[in-house]
Amino acid sequence: MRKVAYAVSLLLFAYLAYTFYQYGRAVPQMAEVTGRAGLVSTNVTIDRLDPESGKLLYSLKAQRAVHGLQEIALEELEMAFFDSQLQEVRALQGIYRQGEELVLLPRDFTATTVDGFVLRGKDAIYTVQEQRLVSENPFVLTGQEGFELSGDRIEVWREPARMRADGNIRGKWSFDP
Amino acid sequence: QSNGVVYTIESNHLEINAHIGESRFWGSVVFESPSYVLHADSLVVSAVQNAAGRQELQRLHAWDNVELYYGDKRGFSDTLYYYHDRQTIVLEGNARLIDSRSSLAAPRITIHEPTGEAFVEGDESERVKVIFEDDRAD
Repeated sequence: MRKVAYAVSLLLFAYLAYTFYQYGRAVPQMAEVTGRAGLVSTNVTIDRLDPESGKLLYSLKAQRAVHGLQEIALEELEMAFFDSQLQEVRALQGIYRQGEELVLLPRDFTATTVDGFVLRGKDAIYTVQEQRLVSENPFVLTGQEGFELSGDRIEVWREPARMRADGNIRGKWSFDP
Repeated sequence: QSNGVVYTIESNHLEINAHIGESRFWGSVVFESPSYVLHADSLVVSAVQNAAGRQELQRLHAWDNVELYYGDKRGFSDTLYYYHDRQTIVLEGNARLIDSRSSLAAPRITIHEPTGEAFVEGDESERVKVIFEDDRAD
């Protein structure tokens, strides 16, 4: 009976060794792991300075950030600009690609300009270098004195202050009599 | 709350250049003001910021399939201008102004918005043409 038990445990051990060997080969090297694996931090501030003047260009704040190899996923994002028209962007979620200086806003966002215009939409891309926001989704732009504009798609350039919108454009302007 | 005059605009496309105060609409444009409605393929709205810092409509320029609904009148032309300072609507090029009892045709028809007075101008190539229904004909 002892011999049988010994044989079974030997077989079991051999099986476990084989399985571990197979699994060991299947797990990729840590360096190749991409995506959301990486450092997680909270109450994050990312400041971007002008390399020449040292002036603060914009600042990204987030409640929570997951730092990947190529990008940083930010939750409860606030992006503040310090040098011209656009004042602030708030979004439920943002993905910041530092190399490309790109901020993806996959969920609802609100962009506020210095002169009181508020743009609401979702799924937008903000290219910092070009100072340009593009959203291929319905948007609503509101401003002072009852101004309101909506459509299916929008593209906004900060400098020069220009905007293009397409699809089901509906605008309401209030002009002085 | 705004006490300005409210205009609504619908179109397929829009481009705003804030620096020069121009908004260009194109594709099935419908421009609605308290006193008239304008249809066209293309429309440029020019506005300026006045001393009070508020937007003031300066001029409209519409072209291609222009159709104006003004009171009981309908206007057609190649091009339409609206000048806010003079409160005048100018139908230019093959201009026609029609109501239930008469029709005007001329190279240019100018309407004074507040009063509805129409000023009709011919030129060397085209004279003014007026058709109206005589009450005695009934």
